[in-house]
Amino acid sequence: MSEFLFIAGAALAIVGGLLAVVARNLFHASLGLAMTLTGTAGLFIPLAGELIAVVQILVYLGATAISIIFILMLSPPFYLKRPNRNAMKVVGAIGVVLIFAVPLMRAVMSVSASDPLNHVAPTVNQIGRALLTEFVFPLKLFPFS
Amino acid sequence: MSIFDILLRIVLAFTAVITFVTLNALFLVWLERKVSAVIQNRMGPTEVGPFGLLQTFADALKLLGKEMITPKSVDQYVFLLAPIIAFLPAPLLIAAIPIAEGVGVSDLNVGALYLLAISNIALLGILMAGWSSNNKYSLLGALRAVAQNISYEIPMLLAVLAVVLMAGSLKLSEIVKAQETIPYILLQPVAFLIYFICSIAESNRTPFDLPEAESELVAGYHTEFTGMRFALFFLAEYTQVFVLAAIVTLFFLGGWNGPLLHPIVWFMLKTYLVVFVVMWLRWTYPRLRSDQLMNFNWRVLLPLAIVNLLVSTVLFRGTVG
Repeated sequence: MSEFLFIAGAALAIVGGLLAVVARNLFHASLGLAMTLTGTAGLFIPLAGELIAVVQILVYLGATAISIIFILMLSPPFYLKRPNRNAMKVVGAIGVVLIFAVPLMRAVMSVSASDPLNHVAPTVNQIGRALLTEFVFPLKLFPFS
Repeated sequence: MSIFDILLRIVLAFTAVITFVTLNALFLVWLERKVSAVIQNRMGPTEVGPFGLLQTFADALKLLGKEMITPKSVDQYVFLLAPIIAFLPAPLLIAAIPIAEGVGVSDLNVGALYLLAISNIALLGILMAGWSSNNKYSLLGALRAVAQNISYEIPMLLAVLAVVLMAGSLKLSEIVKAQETIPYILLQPVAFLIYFICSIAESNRTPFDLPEAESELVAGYHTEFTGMRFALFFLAEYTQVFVLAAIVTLFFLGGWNGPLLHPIVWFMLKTYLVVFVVMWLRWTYPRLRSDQLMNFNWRVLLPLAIVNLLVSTVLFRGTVG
């Protein structure tokens, strides 16, 4: 069951992410972003982090709605002609992806493989306590990053 | 549990939830028409079935038989998806509401937050509907809906937080258990008022029905939708009304606690009483202006909610383990 949830969440996140980058219509791109955020929220559920999953939907999906409003104000209507793809932008995008992907891959490879799906499930109480005692500094620092 | 058992549970839960969503919406539409009729000195539906009870069934069949028109210049995929996304939260919300001790599809550890988070998804559906329709009235309606929902969510969350603080749990059944002696409407009257007002605003009903104000915007975001696609928006709206009443019952009215009657009966009685009050408000008050709506939220409800949370933190400190 948890494998199924993981695969569904990951698929949603990847497809949404691709849509967010590839779509030429800004509105579609932001819907892709919403999809990715929902997918990543789904990834927390098999990891026993329901609290984080729910907070992610509550905070980030609301934020996507706001971003869509800005898109509506700042972009031309969809029935007008769309601008053509720019080869330089595509090359730039691949470059940026590589810059972030290589260190990330190295980091992931260096972690010894364990099975997080079978760990003991922490309760909401424990997570809340940990966030406001042990991890209070990272929690307060995180919104600024 | 074998994979077959899991599948069976999913199918059963899904059937139960969808049946409830449909029947509840059919009943609430009938109730709304009867309540408005009584308030306006009319009869309401009387022809089909006893007291016109089957009128909405006939209407639903008519909607199912209607053609689903897709206007030429809409954004096809988003237009198709919008009613589905708007309807999606309805079954998800019903599934997380316990109607008595241990009765319900699922009683989550983070139930209170889950209900508030999932009802957010409908907003995305409304935005998609408004934008993809390629119609200025739809877009205006959707923009109003977002402005309203995002603003009223903040005092709503703060009000819920005060209740969660007192109960010491996000689990709905434990919040109800904490009210066995005194319902929270007596201990948290301000939070109750704030939550009730905000949740009516979130469900886009009068006096907060600016997103679908028919005298200004035709029908707002669902102007271009016909047949079953329109019905999905309708189902979503009436399920949201039920859910808001159920949350008020769970958080403030003591849930299924009550003497003599069966807990499920108590829960349903309280919930439909709140639904009736919501309808009563709709047929009594006129629509607010957009600036009144925003002023009321940011200058009255939000400070009140913050003060209420502060006071409850001081008063009830130490009661939470």
